Amino acid sequence: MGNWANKYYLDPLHTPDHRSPPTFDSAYGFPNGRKARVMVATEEEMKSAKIPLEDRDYCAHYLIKYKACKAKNWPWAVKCKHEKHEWDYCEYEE
Amino acid sequence: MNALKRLALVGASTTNIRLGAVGLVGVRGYWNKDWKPGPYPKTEEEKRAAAKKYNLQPEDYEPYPNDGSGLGDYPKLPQVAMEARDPYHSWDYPSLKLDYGEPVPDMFNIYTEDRLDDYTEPVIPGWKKVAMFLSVFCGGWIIFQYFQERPAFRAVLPKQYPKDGAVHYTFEPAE
Repeated sequence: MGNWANKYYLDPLHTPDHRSPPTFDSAYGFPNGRKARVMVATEEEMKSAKIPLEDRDYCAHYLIKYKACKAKNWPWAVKCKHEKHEWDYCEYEE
Repeated sequence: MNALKRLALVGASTTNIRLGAVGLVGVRGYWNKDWKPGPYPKTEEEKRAAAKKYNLQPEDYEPYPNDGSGLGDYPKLPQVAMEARDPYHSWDYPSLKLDYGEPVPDMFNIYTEDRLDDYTEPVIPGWKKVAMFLSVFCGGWIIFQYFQERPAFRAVLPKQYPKDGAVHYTFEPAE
């Protein structure tokens, strides 16, 4: 609500647009640069595991592990709670 | 006794009256042929007899035109919705707002209090109903159009996907 009021009424000039990428330099505040994010799962792995397009992010390798575990232990999917928690935590940190 | 017979004959044209009449006179007028009106009156004599049958003065009696509708000698009476009748009068049949032996119009059963009333003025006139509908509908449409251009949003940047050429960074310094 606050963001909405700022964007349309109170301060439309200075409210950032949530649809466009960040305008600041990505190294701003990091004099020696930052570590780049590493994509672990490859395109072929995600394709063969039939990962949905919206899940092909930097956590996809956890999801692949989770799905493999479920397929292995079915119907006792609760045995994969560790894998599920890892994937959920990664998505939470995204 | 004659009056009771007449009532049964008059009331026989509608179900509601028939029930009341049955309560009074027992078995009078419960068979289809007893409910039927007589043949269309042609002579003055027949007209007077029909008026008497329906508890009407001869000058008030006027049958429906003999055009094949099957109403026979049934009298043409003003169609007045029962809801428009005086609620404080001491009616003999309060639930129907009818008096004893009173002839009823032929479409009486659709004008009882729980059904049609095209006689009383409506509380809200028609033009006002239309105006009320249009003001609510158009007002809602205008409000909708106004906020359509200002949608609510979640103030986060688009999710980072590992696309070809795109480089994303963690929050850890390189060194």
